[in-house]
Amino acid sequence: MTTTMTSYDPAVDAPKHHHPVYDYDSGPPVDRGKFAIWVFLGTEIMFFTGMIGTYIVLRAGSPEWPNPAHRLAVGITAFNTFVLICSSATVVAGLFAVQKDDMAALRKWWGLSILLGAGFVGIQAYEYVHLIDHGMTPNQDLFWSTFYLMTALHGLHVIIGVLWLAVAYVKILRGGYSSKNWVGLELAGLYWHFVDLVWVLLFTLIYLM
Amino acid sequence: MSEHPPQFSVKKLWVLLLVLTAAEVIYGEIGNRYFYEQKLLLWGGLLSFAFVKGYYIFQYFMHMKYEGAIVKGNVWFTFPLVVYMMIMIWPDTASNDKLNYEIANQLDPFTGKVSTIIEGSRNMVNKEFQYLYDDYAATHPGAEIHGTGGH
Repeated sequence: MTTTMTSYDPAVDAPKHHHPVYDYDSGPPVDRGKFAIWVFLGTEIMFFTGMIGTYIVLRAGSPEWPNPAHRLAVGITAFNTFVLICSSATVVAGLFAVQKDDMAALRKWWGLSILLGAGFVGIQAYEYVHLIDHGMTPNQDLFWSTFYLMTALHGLHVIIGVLWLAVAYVKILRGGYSSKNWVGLELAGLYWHFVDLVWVLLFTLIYLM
Repeated sequence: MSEHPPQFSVKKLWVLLLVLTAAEVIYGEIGNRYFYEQKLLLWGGLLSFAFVKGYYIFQYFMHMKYEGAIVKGNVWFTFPLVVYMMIMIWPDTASNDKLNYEIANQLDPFTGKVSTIIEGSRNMVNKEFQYLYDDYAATHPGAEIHGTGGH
């Protein structure tokens, strides 16, 4: 079986009861879902840029800024970064598996991705509990308010991503994907990689710089 | 979906990203100890690591490298926008004396005065940040400082 996936062709692939099938397609020559997710990710890029920009503005305007290494547990968060990068790799491994119709491998990699994503959230929650326990709340100073602003909104994205991966996993278990129909997994994966990409930048900006 | 499915080794890229992350953390650790004041070297190096990692995630994991012109054109224009935004807001903050966000500045809601507060006295753990308080007091003679930094 070839692993090359051709475009979704409504004349062949669409369930007959969904919509009338025309012999032309007025849409762009790209999958609609993929087009939509990239438009959405474009807005997400601007959203995080606004947030990171605010952080840089506040930091550049401050004559003093504490060394993050003295305030944050860099080691634990570096490990958490490892976890998120691993989850991105397992999502790609899952996508490659479904393209080869290897459903056992898909279930394995996708399930592992969910566990790793949930692990990331768990470690971040652990970090928050410890910081708040020691009185490091957002109202302490600019360092903490910007720290919580950015990591919490990113964490929210991770939680949404884990939920998305979990919903896709249920569909995987029900046999909803195959080597001819995997765009849903690709969309979830694109969102997940974006969350990973943002974290790579946030980790450097907040924890290391 | 892609006309040309991505062709790359997930394992190799995974190892590369992990190695880059480890190298970045080690670089940051060394930088913090030996050249913390040389911001260009420290930040430039750290950001280089971050951008290289981000580039690989964007190009391969998100397989932008294998996309057609429509998807590429849909996304790439945001990066000049990001640079534009940074350039436009930079002079207003970095070079404007009126905006001087001292660390831990707080607006006192009762007096309406802006006070510089180094909150050290609220909790015991901040004792380890005593040096921040001391440094600040040493470099800002006459600054109105409330709190005693853990004393």
